[in-house]
Amino acid sequence: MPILFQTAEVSGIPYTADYLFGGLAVIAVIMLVFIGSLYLRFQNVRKDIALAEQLAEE
Amino acid sequence: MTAVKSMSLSTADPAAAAPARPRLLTILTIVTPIALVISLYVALFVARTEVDQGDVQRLFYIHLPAFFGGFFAFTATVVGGIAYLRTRNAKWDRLAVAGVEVGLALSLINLLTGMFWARPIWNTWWTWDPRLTAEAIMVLTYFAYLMLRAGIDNADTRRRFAAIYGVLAFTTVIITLVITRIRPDTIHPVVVGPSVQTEAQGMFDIQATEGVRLALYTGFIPWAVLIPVTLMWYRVRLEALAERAALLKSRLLER
Repeated sequence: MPILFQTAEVSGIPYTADYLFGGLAVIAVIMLVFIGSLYLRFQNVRKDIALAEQLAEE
Repeated sequence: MTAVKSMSLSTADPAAAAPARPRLLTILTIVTPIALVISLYVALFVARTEVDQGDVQRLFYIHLPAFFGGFFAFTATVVGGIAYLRTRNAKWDRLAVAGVEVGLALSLINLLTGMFWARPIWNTWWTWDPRLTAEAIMVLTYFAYLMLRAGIDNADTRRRFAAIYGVLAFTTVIITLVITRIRPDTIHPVVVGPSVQTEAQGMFDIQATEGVRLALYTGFIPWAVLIPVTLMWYRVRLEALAERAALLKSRLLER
């Protein structure tokens, strides 16, 4: 088993898990912002197309 | 080439109704998060802790594959750019812009995870090391691509400019990739393959810690292959829809 998140006092390995969590949080933020932005842009473009088609019919 | 072909949307009439989501894209949308969760599990709970660096070293299992994911996406931009210049077919421009956006997201992940690793290992968030500087220039170059592209109204001019810029910008990717192999004074570690470095700090032996290779290989599947392909595919579809919306609007204005 790994010694994940164990303190330096217990294992002698430096405790750097806080930086790991920070890095994982940044990854999550970047991915969520990118996917969220894609989703919002899809929604906006679909609305634009629907409106343009409606106006074209009128 | 087959993947690129299937990623592209119809070019016959951009104003025609958008095609339904391809089955392969649906499969990728399901498989990618599963592969991501498996790779995170292996990185966090299967690979043993590196004894000199502690848990922060686990970021390496995302840091390195994310760079190659970005490399893959920027390569798609080069392919799209060259193909657009040869054929003037808009589908290649869609691939090019998709590659830049996805490559930027993955490069930012690579850059920022590197900073979080560097803080406890190098005792600083940032240093103007050749590798770090090269990557910062690379990221700024591709941000500039998006800004300059957004500033050109004429579609043909925008596509032609973006194609040439996308091909030339790839030199920053090559420099970032090889700089640790040709500059001996960089402190950025080279963990895989030969190196000329004399001042690297934070090196670790991937053979010495159990599970490192497995975690690295498991990380490459989502970060370097599945995530770039899936996100680029969606971005290509978005660009096709945006072109359709623009065409419908211009037809309305002409009436």
